[in-house]
Amino acid sequence: MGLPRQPVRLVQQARIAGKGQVVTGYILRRGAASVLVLLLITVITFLLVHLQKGDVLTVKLRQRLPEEQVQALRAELGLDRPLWEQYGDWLWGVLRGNLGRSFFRERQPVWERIQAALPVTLELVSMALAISVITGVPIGVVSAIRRNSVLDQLGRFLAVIGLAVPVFWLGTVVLVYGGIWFQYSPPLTFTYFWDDPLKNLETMWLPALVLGYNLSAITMRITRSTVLEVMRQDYVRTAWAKGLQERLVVTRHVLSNSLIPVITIIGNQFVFIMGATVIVEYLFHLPGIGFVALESITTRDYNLVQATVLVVGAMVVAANFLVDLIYARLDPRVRLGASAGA
Amino acid sequence: MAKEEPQVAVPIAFYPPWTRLGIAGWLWRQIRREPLTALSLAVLATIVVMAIFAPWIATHDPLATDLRARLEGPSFHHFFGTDAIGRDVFSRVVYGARVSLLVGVTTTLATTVLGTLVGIVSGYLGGVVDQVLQRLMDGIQAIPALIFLMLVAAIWQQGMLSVVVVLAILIAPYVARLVRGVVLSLREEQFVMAARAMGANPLRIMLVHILPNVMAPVIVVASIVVGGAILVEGALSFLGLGIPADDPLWKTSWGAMLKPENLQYMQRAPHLALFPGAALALTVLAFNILGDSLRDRLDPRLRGALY
Repeated sequence: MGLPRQPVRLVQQARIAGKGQVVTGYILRRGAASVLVLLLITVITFLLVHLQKGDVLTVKLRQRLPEEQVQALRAELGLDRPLWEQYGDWLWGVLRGNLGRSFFRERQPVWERIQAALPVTLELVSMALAISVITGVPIGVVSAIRRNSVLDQLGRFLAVIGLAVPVFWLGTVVLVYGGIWFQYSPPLTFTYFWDDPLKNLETMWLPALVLGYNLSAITMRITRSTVLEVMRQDYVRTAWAKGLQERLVVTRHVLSNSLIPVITIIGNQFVFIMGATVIVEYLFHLPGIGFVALESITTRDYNLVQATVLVVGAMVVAANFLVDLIYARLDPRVRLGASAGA
Repeated sequence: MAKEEPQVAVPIAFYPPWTRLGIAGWLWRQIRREPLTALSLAVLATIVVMAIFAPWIATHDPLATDLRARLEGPSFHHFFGTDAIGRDVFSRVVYGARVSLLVGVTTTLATTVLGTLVGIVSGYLGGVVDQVLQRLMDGIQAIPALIFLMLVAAIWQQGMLSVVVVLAILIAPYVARLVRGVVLSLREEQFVMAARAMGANPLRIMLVHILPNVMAPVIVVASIVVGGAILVEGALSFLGLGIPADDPLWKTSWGAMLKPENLQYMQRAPHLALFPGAALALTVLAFNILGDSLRDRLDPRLRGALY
């Protein structure tokens, strides 16, 4: 109305000038939250491992060591000190990149195990994620745009099945029938990608496919429902009303607005993916983090247990952080809205 | 609005939806309208009956071994064949339904109760309480459920109770976040304002005014939790950290029947892999389809909010 134009322009200029700061602030806030979450995970893991009755020596005691030797070992491993002191020591070690030593396997440094296992898991997870995005997103989009078509029905059917079929059963069936029909069995030795890419992919494609199918089902369903949601929006109706070609409506108006949430939700699936990798790695003999986690948990190798849970937690937190950053980059409402409240 | 209501006392009667068509007609209409949902209900009913009446339905003792009848294929005597030590697979699948259903249902109950309470408190009170609860939930949500359960099973206690308790704690944040979102908008509603103006204390507002209004999304999310919980229990037993394949009380779990150490037997007798896995997948599938249908009936807006 009769308001002076000047202040408005000032506010706009201030916003533009402060944009960089807003983004940095957002990143810092998300980063701080991530660190806090990681700390929480370390505390929970540590307490869970250390508040139990027996310790690694109850396992070792099956080897019937004499009592004084047990005490000496306990002192050597630092298991006789107060809990918070052990936690502080461990955390301090972690910060300096020292994850301690395994209790078994000639007291091999934990870091070496993690270092060997991490690439395997990262490769498996990224292959599965790639499969899930490459198949899930297009099928989801087509399914939503050609709603109730044969393709939609088929896609939805496959997705519903994919959500219900347990990864461990799918893997088992693949191995059983792969063995019967194609004499396939997972190789007993693992080859790293950088040693022999072809041989590595030969081992990895099947587990990645098994893991990927499940993820793809989730991705497809999310994509489909987000696209449907966007297609109901007024601006899409306007685009149709303007007489735009379908191709333009879909690519410019629908897809550019519906694929951003998909990224977030795929990122949030990371925590489930890590659980599923344990199963797939166990079933297909892949020496990844999940395999190490299972082994260390059943042998009560504390330092290794703590390290694997921490690494897995860090991967989840890092993935979520990354997704937040991408999201903020793509959708300005997030970073600006976040600076106002929340 | 209120002034247009007739001020006469109208006798209020509850008319169930089948009054007009009769129960059979109404049921038939529902089946025709949503055949998949009807089918899922039938499947679930069968599984529930299997679980409850397991001792009468099972044709053999699920733990009895018969070394003369190992790895036999499906036959009239052994419907689903026998496993590597001659146990009857059909009877074991029947008993396995008990574990899956019990874990699914109790976990879901515990999760929804916990998640709803936390969500309402967090959303309604806001402030520091909300912040603390939110960060705590962030932390819990970053923990992969399966790995955490493996940890608990291996070093604390292995069994049904710990699975249910741990899963409830780990899944509750997902329910809580959803509820919190709903509560945040409910908090600004007129009826909450009115209750506050009349001096209702926060506890009363949360329980009497807000709780009934979040029930629809909670029921919908609960139907998804069931399938998830059943899958996680299966995975845990599959890894050998859940219910053992020869548990004296529960007899067996579907996941435990698929343990990879039996892989060599499964390749000789594929029915070992097929039946327990199919039972598991079918149960989860039925719950998921039922959940979708519930969502469409109770709260279609949730489409997309959950997957």
